[in-house]
Amino acid sequence: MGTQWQGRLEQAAGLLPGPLRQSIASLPQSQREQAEEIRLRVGRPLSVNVGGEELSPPGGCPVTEGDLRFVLELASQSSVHTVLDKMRSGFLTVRGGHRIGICGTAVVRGGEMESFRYISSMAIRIAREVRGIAGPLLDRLLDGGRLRSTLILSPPGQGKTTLLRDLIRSLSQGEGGAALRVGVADERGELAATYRGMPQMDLGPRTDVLDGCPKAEGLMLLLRGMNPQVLAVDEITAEADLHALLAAAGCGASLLATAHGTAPEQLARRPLYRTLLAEGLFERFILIEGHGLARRYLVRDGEGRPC
Amino acid sequence: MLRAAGALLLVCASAGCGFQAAQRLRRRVTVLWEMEAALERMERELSYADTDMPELLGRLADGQRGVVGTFFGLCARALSRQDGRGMEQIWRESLEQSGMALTGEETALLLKLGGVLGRYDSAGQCRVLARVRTELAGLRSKAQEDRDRLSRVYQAVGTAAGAALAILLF
Repeated sequence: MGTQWQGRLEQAAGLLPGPLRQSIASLPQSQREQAEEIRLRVGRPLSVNVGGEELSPPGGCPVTEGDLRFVLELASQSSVHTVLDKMRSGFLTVRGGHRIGICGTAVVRGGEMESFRYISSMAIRIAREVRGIAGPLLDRLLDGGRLRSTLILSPPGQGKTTLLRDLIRSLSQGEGGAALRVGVADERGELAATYRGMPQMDLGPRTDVLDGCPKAEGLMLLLRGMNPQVLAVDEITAEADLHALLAAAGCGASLLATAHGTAPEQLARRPLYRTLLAEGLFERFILIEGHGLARRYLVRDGEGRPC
Repeated sequence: MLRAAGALLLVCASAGCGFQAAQRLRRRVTVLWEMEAALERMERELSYADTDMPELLGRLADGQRGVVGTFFGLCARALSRQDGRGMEQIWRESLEQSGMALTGEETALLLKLGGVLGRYDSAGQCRVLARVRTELAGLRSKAQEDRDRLSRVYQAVGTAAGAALAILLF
């Protein structure tokens, strides 16, 4: 298994004003390589999340609201008007696939959030590409050259997207069986981290990426236009996504998706997912257990039994 | 013979200064015209296509000649490099480097725009662009008046001063 995140912290830190960037550079190399998130809170020194623990580099000065505005300006390439809709959903994805979560005082007009009057904190989640983590799971997910529809479950920050990305790459490259055509509905641009049409993350040679488009619409477009054998989507959150998945499953494509949760039983308690489980759409569940940087992947069948 | 050549040289140099000053007045009007046109295109791109700044500035650089095109080219390249400088700083530095023959008032107006571009929604930016264009049009009218009124004066004064100096000296 190889990690390709060396230098990714530096890439994400490139969005910060000079003094904050220098503060990150003062962290030991080992911590920099394992960093998962950069946390910025107004009035507090910057901190870096390493293995679930927030570390503040020594001598860091308090972050100002101006610093956060500057990050937003650089993240949007001085084009805040192009990311306002993403800001409204709480985060935006930047070049390199890094995800910036934003908190602050919302401006609400007509009952809907329009933008932020003040930004109070930001979490820059560093995008990772970890090759090979999907390999040991493939024999339980494949069935005679076909992927069993699979849902990856874990609480936030445990590596759902990272595993999904490597699963897509493995299936597209034909690891563990015949290579499959994968269609990816990448609404936030996190999976492929496409920049001006060029994916910056390796999703394999037989993968078609539709990014920037709402997931539900993207799934339908892929199904109609690209004839995928596998349809992949990150974070099912809306009812429209569920309907699109049900429609896609009816057309014969295998599904590969992620959702927040710890187990299928827990998912069944949420009305949004109850239909999905009742329909028996997913034949496999992958549960991620994490402690620090270590991850354990548990595979269960459609009935919730370990396999 | 040598005296005549020296006198001629003096008249030519002095007249050249006058012509150059008149040329500066004409260039200022051209720059303001081109800048107004560029800002109008910027407003259109923002309101219809929500174009991002690197692409928008690149298009303006391709569509404009002379120093105005150079200015937008400098901005577009600096923004694409993503070297940690914000739009306001890039805009200011590009204005300084592009060598536009503008007055302090005209430069201050354009600098103000640098603090707004890319920071707000498209509608907000368009409102500011429209206001700046109106103010720029007023300054351009004034620059045209200056050009019409002063360019012949500068040329005549330059030539006459050179001739007077030549008569005095030789």
